[in-house]
Amino acid sequence: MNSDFCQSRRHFIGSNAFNLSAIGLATLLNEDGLLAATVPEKPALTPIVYDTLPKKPHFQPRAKAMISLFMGGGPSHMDMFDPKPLLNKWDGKLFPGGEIKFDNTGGATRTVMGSPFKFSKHGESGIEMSELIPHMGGIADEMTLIRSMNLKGIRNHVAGMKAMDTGTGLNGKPALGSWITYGLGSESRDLPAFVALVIRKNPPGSPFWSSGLLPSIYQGTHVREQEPRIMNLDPPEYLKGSAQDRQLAFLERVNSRHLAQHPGELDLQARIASYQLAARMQTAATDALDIKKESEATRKLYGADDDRTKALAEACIIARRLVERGVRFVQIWDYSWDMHENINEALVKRCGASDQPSAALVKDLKSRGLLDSTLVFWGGEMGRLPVIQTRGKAGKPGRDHNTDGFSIWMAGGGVKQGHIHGATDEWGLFATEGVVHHHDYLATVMHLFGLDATKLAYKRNGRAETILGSATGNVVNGILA
Amino acid sequence: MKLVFAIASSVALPLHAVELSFERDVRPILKAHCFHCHGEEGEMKGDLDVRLKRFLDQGGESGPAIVAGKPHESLLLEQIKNGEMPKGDKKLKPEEVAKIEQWITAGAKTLRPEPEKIEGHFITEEERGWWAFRPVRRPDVPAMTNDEARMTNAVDAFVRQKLVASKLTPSAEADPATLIRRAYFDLIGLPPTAQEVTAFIQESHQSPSSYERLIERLLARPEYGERWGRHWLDVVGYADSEGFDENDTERPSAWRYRDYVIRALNADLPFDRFITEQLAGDELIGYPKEGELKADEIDKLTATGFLRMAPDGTASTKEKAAQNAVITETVKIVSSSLLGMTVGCAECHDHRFDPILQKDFYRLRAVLEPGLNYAGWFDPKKREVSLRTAWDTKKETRLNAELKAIEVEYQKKLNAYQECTLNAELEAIPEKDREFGRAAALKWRKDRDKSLTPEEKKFLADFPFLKVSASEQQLNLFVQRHDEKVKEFEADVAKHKADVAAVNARMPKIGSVRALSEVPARPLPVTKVFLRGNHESPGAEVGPGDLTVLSDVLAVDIAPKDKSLPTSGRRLAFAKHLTSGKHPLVARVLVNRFWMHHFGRGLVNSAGDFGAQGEKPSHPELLDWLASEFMSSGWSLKQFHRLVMNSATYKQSSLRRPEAERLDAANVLLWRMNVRRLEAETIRDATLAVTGRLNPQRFGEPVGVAEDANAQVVIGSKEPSSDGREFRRSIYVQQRRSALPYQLAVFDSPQMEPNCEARNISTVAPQSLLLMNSSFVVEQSRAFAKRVMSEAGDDVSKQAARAWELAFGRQPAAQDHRDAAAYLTEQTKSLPAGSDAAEKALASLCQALLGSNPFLYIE
Repeated sequence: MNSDFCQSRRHFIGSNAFNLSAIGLATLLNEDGLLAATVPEKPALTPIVYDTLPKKPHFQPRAKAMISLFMGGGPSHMDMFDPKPLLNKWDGKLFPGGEIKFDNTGGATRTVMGSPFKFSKHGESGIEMSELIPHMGGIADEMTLIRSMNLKGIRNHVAGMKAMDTGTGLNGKPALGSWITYGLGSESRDLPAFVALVIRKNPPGSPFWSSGLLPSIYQGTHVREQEPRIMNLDPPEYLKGSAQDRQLAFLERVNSRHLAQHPGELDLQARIASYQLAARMQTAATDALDIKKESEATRKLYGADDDRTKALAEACIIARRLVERGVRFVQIWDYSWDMHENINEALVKRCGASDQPSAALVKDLKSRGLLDSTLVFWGGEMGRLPVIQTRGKAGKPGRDHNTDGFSIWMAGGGVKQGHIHGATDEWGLFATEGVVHHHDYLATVMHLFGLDATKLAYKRNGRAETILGSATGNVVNGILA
Repeated sequence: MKLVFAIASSVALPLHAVELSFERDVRPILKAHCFHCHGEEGEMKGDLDVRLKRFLDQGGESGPAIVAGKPHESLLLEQIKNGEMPKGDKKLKPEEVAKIEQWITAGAKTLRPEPEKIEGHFITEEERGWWAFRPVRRPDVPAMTNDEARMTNAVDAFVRQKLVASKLTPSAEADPATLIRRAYFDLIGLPPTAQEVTAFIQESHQSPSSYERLIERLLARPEYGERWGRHWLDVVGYADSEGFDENDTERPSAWRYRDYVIRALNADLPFDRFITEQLAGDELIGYPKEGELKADEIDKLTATGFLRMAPDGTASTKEKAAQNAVITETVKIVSSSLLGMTVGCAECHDHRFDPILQKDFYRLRAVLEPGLNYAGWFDPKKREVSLRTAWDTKKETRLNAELKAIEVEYQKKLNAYQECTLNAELEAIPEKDREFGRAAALKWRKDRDKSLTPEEKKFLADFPFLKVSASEQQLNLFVQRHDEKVKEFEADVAKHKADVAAVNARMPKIGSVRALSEVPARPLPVTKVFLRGNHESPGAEVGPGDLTVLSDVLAVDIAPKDKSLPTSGRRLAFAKHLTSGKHPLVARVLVNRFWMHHFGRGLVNSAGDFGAQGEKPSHPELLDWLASEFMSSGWSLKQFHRLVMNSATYKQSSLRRPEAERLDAANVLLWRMNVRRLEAETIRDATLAVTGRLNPQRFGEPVGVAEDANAQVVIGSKEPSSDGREFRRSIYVQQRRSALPYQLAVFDSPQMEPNCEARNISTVAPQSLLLMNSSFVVEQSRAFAKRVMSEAGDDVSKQAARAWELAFGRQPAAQDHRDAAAYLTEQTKSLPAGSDAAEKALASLCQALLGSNPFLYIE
């Protein structure tokens, strides 16, 4: 545990609004004693108390926090990140290759559709991206672009998002954020360790921030696009302000007298401490979520005052504010990329809403010295097919799903800068070089946090469960800085 | 068998007292890390087999693996030490390496001559000697002094023996107020009312047997089955939805199994029967058979819902993998709930740590396979057993006749309206055409356009309002134009609607049961071992059976004898095998779990794992005595409660004592009672009980769940119901795997994947936020305040005392009382002046009490 942390803790103890009792103090110091605890490899089956205190990783980490911009629905890689000139040559002709797997046969065709968007090289690295995402082009030299994602054996959105987030397409498995907070705890004592920010609408199959079989303490706290952003954070109307402080002070007196009859009862102490944390969270989370405190320049950087970019901009700003305050894992869910019809207009709109805030997040983290220790992820659970889907209005075609080949990018947190990893075939249909499966992606993220995905296990029903399950996940060494 | 036993007891000797041996010390390490590639399933990498010591001497391609007495020349040790072996990331622990080295140095001894050859899978005597696989013995109850014996029972004798050996003494009995609260929560999951507490305290001063009578009263309460039913539903993985994928299809009839469990426990159905009905209720009644099912038969079929609890994706997909997963998960539920072993680990290969062979997993699967037939799969809907009775059919026929009569009468009325409407409409055409028009209209009425002449057709096209049909809807349009008839017509329509609805309301509701049954078929489905667990790689055929390791204690092949059954009889034979009284695991596993629910910790702390990775029993003799007593007292759970709850051990105070704390901080030896947090459901139920809102309606379809405006899963629907169903006990709330109510999930209610053997207990800030700010708690606190005001009036001192009594079942101590009353006065002043400031202040006090430790923890 680093000394900054302890200092901030002491600071907190000195300034606590609830006049922390000696017992509360003892609890906190007791927690300090636990700080050095290693990753729980095999917790017992029967009741044990779990916590989110910082834990030592398996080895030296590169990332301390992650902000995942999960773009659900399937951003079209061949229109944004992965130029395929052959498509434009064959535009309107029948696809000459082999079988194409369609997830939606309605309106499916084998007619090749070129991309109307111009690609150009960006930055010193010269990564090619399309005119849809000029701001992302501006951070090309910060990112590792993976053009060879492939969800082996997984199709469709829900299973795909589960696979990217939990390692399998099945229900009930813990989210990546839950695993990481289980393994590493949190640097913040005043905020939840794992936060899921949802904009626009809940992705189908959500919540993707469930702790599954892990204890509920590792569940993501759902932060909404509008107020109330966190559940149960606001006091009931009639207790707002000092009335609730008075109520909690009374509660603490009841609990303390009760504890005095049961000296040494850890659970009772922990409950008192958890009320104190909840009260701190009310203040700290309210503060962390208050984006009005951001400067004009920052709001402008993200596009927070432009109606098109506002939603993601605010979410990104909140994510940065949370990470600054020690939150381990923030995931922004934006399920708005499923474009079976009218894709070319839809992409202009969607990229217009996402491009600037996403790039601004990377720039902002960098200027604050946080990018080295914060892993930023941008991508979804699939890309799209090189052929036309004519579902919907005639003349305004879309593209069907493609989980066999698509692009994502990462920045900061120990990944290479200005780097392209892997490739799809010349049609953008299959990942062919340096293929990265979802298990590899998850193992790599864990690795960046100093965790071995095969070792971070939770014992349940006598089985050591890991995020990889029975599958193999290889760390993609080629993208590590 | 005697020989084995001798070895088993020698295992218990401290390590340093005996020489290291291959069987006892080295083999388990090699089994966990090396067998997989060197010996098992014909796999012999580098031509090396490490399953016997003499194979190690022999070695493989690179020469001998060990040289006795010469660790430095032993290749095995070298490879392990330099990290070469085992391949992969999971290396041996330093102490394991040291043990192997020590063993080689000491001459690489074995305990006995090794077998000539290994036939199939080899289970060593050490493995058979593991405590949980030995027969249940009934140890003598340790002697006690007469004085002690008067105060205590056999349970205490075993516990005291251990305490004395560790120089510990038991704690004094808890005070009556604590005892009654503990007993209420333990047996019925609800707090005692203030009157019940007062009465009990008085009674206990007068009569020494008052506590025993209290236990009897609680055991007879209908809420008992709701409380203990919940424990059983955890173990079986009860859910009202199929899970598996995002569809999470609902199980509309699963609740009948929940009700069966509650009723069975209330009736103290002996556990051997309880288990048999759940495993083979269909075979008990010779199902499938013709004719209507009797109530008792429906019960037995409902009981087999136990085998239908696993997540089941076959409701939404036809994939073979999904079907296979249902069987696999069911084997896991059966084995973890009844055998307390992690048999699921042997699905793909022999168990790494316990002597459970891969084929054992498939032998258990073979018990189920005639019912869960992989080759001829039924999706969940096709398995539903209809509850239609002859009475239903008869009643339906009679009611349908009534409906028909109503329609005939109604049609007559409509015809009359049709007639007078036509007459009225004819008024609107020139008088000279009326005769012609009427004739045309009547023809049209008979067969529409068919017999109309071209002139008539044209005429009706010109005067379409003459086309008056006798349908209610059409007539309504016509009648609306003739005022004098409107009211009469509307009244007739309404009456008809009501008549039909009244008959329909009497129609029998025909339910169905989520049962498991077999389609009688010969030959029976074949069960094969799936190589590496892959259902697309079937291997050798296996027959039904229990764990091979138990074969020296009882016959493990399941051989159905009853030829009169239409079905395979495998599950019935398996149930008899498990409940024969000779099975080493079943009764131990059950009583251990019961014990856990009384003490917060099992005698075996790993309730779901009695194997090498679990914990050994803290009181092995007590565990065996309880298991034996349980079986000999007719497998009665209520008898078990009497035995345990009347013990001095159970009645002890939970207060910590420093001198005992130093010796046994974790209270493994039970020198005091443990302080336990209430479970998620109990917190909610107790809250509702205290605020007076609890809806006691029992059984039947579950209360639904819904997402509220904040995307939080809540109980009931978004709006309050008229019948208060959202305030029923938590066991009656729909258990959708994908939609756990937030207020329960945050307090660790389990997600069933596939079942839950012991719950987590977390203490986290979101729980506190929920208790501070959630609309449920706030609303309940307001209700609580209203109750207190109605019972205690406006006086703050009386209010404080009454709220305290209701929440905690005891009078406040003087200081608590003063503090609470002062808080009320102060908070009232601080709130905006208004008629309800005092009530709000009281609600805030009530809320604090409902979120306080004295409420959330049982002492």
